[in-house]
Amino acid sequence: MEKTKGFIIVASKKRNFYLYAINLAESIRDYYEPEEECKICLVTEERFLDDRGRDVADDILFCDDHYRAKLWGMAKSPYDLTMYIDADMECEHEDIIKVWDEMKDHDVVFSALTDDRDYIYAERDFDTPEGSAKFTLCGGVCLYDMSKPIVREFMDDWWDLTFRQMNDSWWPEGYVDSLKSWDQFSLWWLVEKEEKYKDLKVGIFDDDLRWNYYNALNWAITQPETGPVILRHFSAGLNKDTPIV
Amino acid sequence: MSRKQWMDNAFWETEEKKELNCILELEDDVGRVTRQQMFLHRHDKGGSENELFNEVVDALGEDAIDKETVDRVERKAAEAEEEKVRDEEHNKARKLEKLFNYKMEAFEVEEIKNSKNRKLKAKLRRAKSKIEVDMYSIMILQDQLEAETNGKD
Repeated sequence: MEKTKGFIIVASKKRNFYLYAINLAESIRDYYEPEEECKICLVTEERFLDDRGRDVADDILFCDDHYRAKLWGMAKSPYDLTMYIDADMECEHEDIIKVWDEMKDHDVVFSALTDDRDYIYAERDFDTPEGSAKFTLCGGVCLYDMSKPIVREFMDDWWDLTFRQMNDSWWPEGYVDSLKSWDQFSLWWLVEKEEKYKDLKVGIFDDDLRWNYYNALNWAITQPETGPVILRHFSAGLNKDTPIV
Repeated sequence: MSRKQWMDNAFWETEEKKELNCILELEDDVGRVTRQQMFLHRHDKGGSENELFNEVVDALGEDAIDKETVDRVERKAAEAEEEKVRDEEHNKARKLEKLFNYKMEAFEVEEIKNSKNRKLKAKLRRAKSKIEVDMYSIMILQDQLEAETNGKD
């Protein structure tokens, strides 16, 4: 049986994120051909949902207002092949339909945190009891195959570990507290330290800048190599707290 | 053992080669290295030749200083051009963020929020300027008004 495919977008805590999420979902539909094959799951708080959300989403899941509800939502995806996209992004190219080809034989696929893009990251390098380390995976977008039990377990664990690191019920010795707010840390921990995920096939999108282009990057020096941006990440340039109107 | 060396990136400040910009590198007995930037005149106020100036020219050679002067001008021009491009691209990025925020505001206008005209809303989303956003906003408003009028009929 063919695997189901769909996008998952999470908007919690702030209404602006809901508005960004609606825009993202609609922008995906703008470019996805044939549009009727475009499946979108919107994960949001019940208080935010309106007709726009009901119209644009095929599936709706209600979450709570946790800061990292995205990980809860990712673990609940109703689709086999799932493309998670941060709400503050926008689709701007028809190659969005090619996202499923990026799965290849990986279990999960991310964009990369690289040295040459270092200048836009708040906290990337850190000390560990074994020496210095750095985050190499960015969770802004994530393509994963929920038909694989190991991936389902991984997504559950990522959410669980993040939840626990943020409420102080789990934290390894020898790591600075400022890392607690980053889901990149729990991701790093699972991929690098957890024995059960040592065989998890973690991939990077080909020409990953196309799939997660931070608008804060300097356009003059950091550009995709093989084509235009598909998903643009506005992240830093948005005022997420001030009501839009 | 101490050491004194003129660095090979000295350059003429003027075409007349009357002023020289150079760096002297000094290493003391315990290996500490210091660098001193100097701006030297060929002649002092009384018109006498500057010995230090001549020392640098003798050490590095006039041709080498000529070449470094030309190379430096080209290098600085390239750097300035690169900086200009970076600034332009930076400004484009900021402009796009502002445009994105502006579109979000437009999508919150009641009539646009409630519009089911996906085609026009897609056009608004793809707009490249505020004027274009305004234009499609008006078209959506008109479309919405017409839809309401027809609905009443």
